[in-house]
Amino acid sequence: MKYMIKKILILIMTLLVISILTFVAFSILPGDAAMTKLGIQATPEKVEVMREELGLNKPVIIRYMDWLKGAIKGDFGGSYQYSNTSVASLISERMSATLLLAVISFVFIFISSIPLGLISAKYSGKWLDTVISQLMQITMAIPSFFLGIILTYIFGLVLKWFQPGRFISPAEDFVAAVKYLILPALAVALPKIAMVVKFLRNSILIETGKDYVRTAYSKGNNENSVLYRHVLKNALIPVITFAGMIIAEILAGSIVVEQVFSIPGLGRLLIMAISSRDYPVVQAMVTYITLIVIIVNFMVDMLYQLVDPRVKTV
Amino acid sequence: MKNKYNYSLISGICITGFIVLMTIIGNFWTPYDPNELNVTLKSTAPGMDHLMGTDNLGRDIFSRVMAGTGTTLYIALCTVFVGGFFGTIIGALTGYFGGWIDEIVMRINDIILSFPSILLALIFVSILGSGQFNIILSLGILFIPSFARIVRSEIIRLKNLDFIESAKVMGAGHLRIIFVHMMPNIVVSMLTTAAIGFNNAILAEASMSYLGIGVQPPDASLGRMISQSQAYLFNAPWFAIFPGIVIILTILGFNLMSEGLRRESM
Amino acid sequence: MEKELLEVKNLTVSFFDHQAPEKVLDQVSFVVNHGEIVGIVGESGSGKSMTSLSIMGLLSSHASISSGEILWEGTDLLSLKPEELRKLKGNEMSMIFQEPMTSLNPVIKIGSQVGEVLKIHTTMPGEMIKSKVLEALREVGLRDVNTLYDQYPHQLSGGMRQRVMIAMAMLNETKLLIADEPTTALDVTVQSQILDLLKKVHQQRQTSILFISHDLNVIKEICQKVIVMYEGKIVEAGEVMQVFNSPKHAYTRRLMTSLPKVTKEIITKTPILYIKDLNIFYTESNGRIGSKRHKKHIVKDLSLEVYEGEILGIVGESGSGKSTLAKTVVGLHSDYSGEIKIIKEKPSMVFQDPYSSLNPAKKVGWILEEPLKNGGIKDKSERRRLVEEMLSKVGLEFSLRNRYPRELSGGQRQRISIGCALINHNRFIIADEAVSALDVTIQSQILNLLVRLHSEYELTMMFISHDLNIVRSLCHRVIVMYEGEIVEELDGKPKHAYTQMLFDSMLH
Repeated sequence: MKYMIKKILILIMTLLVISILTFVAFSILPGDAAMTKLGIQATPEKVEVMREELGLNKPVIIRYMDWLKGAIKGDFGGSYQYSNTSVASLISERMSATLLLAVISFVFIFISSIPLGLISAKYSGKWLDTVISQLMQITMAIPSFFLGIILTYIFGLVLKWFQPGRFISPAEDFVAAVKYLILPALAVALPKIAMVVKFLRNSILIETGKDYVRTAYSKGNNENSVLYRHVLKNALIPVITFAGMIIAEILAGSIVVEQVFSIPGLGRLLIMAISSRDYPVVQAMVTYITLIVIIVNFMVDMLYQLVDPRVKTV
Repeated sequence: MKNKYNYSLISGICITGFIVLMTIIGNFWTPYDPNELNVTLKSTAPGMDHLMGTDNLGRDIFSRVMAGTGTTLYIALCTVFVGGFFGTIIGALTGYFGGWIDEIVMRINDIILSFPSILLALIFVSILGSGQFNIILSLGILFIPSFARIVRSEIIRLKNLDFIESAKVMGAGHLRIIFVHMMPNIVVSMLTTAAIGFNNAILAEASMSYLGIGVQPPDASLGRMISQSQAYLFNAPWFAIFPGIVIILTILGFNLMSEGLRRESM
Repeated sequence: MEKELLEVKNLTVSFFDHQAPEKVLDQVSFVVNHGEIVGIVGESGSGKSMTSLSIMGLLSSHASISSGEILWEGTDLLSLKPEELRKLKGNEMSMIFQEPMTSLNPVIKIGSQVGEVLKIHTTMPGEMIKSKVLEALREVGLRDVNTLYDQYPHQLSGGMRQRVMIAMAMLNETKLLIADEPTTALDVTVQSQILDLLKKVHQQRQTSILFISHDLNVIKEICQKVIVMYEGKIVEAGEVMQVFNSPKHAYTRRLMTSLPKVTKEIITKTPILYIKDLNIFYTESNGRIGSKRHKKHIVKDLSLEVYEGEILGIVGESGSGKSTLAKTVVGLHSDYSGEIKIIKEKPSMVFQDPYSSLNPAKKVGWILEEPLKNGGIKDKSERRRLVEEMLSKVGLEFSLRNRYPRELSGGQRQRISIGCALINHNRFIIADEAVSALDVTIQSQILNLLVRLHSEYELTMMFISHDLNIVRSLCHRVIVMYEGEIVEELDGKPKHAYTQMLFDSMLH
């Protein structure tokens, strides 16, 4: 119990520190928010008035505290680019698309990498393993965005099974949204699948060389029982930590893939905000991303404690 | 079952060699000027004149690919050097001396590492602005934690081995122990990590260029070429395909080479 | 019932790597009868483990049986199909291994692992399996078996784990138990407990045991017959007492060689190291910020004098603090209170593990030059000369200076470690388990080397070991340590209870 509480405290502190860092970083920057709002033509007096309005003349600490107070309630201020739109609403509009994409990607990764990893390890050295390993090797080298484009080309333009650019929000039509997201999810998932398969295969092979496997054989187990009853659990333990990293990577992957497939999600929002220097949006996105990463890491850590009896918890 | 020849290493060297050769030649000579517009020739298919075809503005894709690959490789190389240099120093010192500084640095490291690098790179770039130097800076700084972590864990592993204790008894000073006694044993891990970092840098740079936050025009960049090509995908697929294939080959070549090297050292 | 249980006939096994195949077993033939305890003794590379793995069908894919038969009650195991062989494994024939920690699955509970043999070979219901397992755990001398049932291997001590392995191996109607170095990784006192357990198992169940070890004393203690192996071949076999007392083969004779003895006169009693009221602490950090750090009291109120020219033996088991004492004296550990007065020169040290005591990335010549460089000798040719001198002093060829440690044998590497310790004209060495990781015949070579160097250069040595036999014959004085304290300075018969226990476990 104490351990968990301590962990949670550290995580909250991390969140705060990161939000402070990004906030301060953005406030140091050139490229005034007021000017962005008013446009380049604005006179210096008008810019000053706007600055007062936006509260940009207050010291950084006060501005941060104001932001923090709002953030806790869910109010991240107003977007610089889209006047009269709150950052929070921008985010909530686009969350469902990204979320759905992430979930579908994760499902793809989960259902294919474990069987592939198992097969690859079981037939290690034989042609099946060689084929799988080579394919994985190549897939790992393909950037997600390029994969997205190729998939669009093959399935969209050549086979015409897919219409690029016609995304339907899940609120309107859930099934159609899922259908649209299959290709993007593949673009995100495939390189990750390759990584997990390779990792799992190595993990299994490493375990297979250990002494307790020899003992298992000496008791009369056949290959399958050794693999499933003894090796698999040990081999999956390191994969759990890897899984946490994968989830973070899915987030990153979706940023790029959303651009490829014109999906109105958080990734695209982030890109647009960065290019147009819409700092409140970027700040809020950073906070959200940090939160997600922290939560995922925490869950992975807890899962690890549960699964590995050698790790001591309180 | 070990093969007589290290296929990974050989194919890796061939592929990487080809790419590097292309880039080096591209530095001095390209079939056409990569930035030369020739509207009359726009979007021509690959043929004898233009091995990879032309883009929507009539520029020769092959020349642009040669130049763009150069940019990508240069950025990746610089990233690895920056990250490797500082990462080694940080990892070696914290691993060797330990203490509370080690704990804090490792904590920071872990936090940085738990974020996908592209995300952080984007944020860095949004703060610093785009452009080659800033990209190298961001990616380089982001590479430091992975390198530091590997170096640190190797140093810790070696620290307790008898030959290091023996060196201490025989009077070697700390710095001598780290750099003369320990380093040669770490080289292999460092190279492997460097190779991984190199590939990640290539992917990151390409992705960022694709998103428009990478190197700026008119510099050629593989990522941006692919981004520009999307609109013409149906009519001129070669515009997208060739730069993409080059990216894949570069990463693949390096992966194979580093795996081959690892097998050699076993 | 036939007398013969197991007959190995002309077994030849080859090992395939990327180079040409290497014979690891060459025409090995022997018999194990029902109810017999047969020992296989040999050093590393003798093939003794390979033999046991071949019998159990546990050879790796790199090794293959080129010819021969393994007859189990008349049937050739090598002709059986894998499923048929599997019916015997864990059932009529089972095996226990050297490292009980890694031989048990770390993520499966003890009870479940042990019960697995019943699950595989019988149709017993779960409840019955559990009760049989509990009974077996009690049989092997474990206490609190109900709690143990649900524990994991890492929660048990080494001795307890080995008992679990034995319980697991004997759960079915085992006719042959193959024990591959089962006590080597255990403390001496635990060793004798496990041997007693095996003897009990043999008596009660009339199980045959094939006992593999490099330790002659252990073989003598438990086996009726013995087979001596060397480089894949059997060089001698017979009744234990006969082979040990009148060895016929040259190698067997080498194995039985007595340990070097030192003339026990020392001329002066000049202290060269003076330790008084020494307390050594060790802080274990948990790696987390703000976590509690355990401060362990390793050595307690120790006082000791080392006299010039003597070989002082310090004997103790793991946890006695002997190594920590050595490290502190030499300057590697600084958390202590009390007095350590070094009167003439600081001692140099020779470490236990030949595989980690030399820098794998450097050549031998460089390794030997390091202490010279640190000692301020700037002239390269002078250093070369000293290295050449030292190599011959420790019995090695000069050409070895261009090799890497991995190209050398364990014995050669220890010679180099000794060379490093002496090259700066040091006259005071601490040898921390310097021969413990070596094969028996190599051990006596290195010990002889140390004795020779000691007399030639009038060295002072602190010889630390867990092996009472070696220490008693080699050293002028012997000090016994237990849990951080000096328990006794040995003078003839043991006075302290712990020393008596060590003596009893020493088996001869």
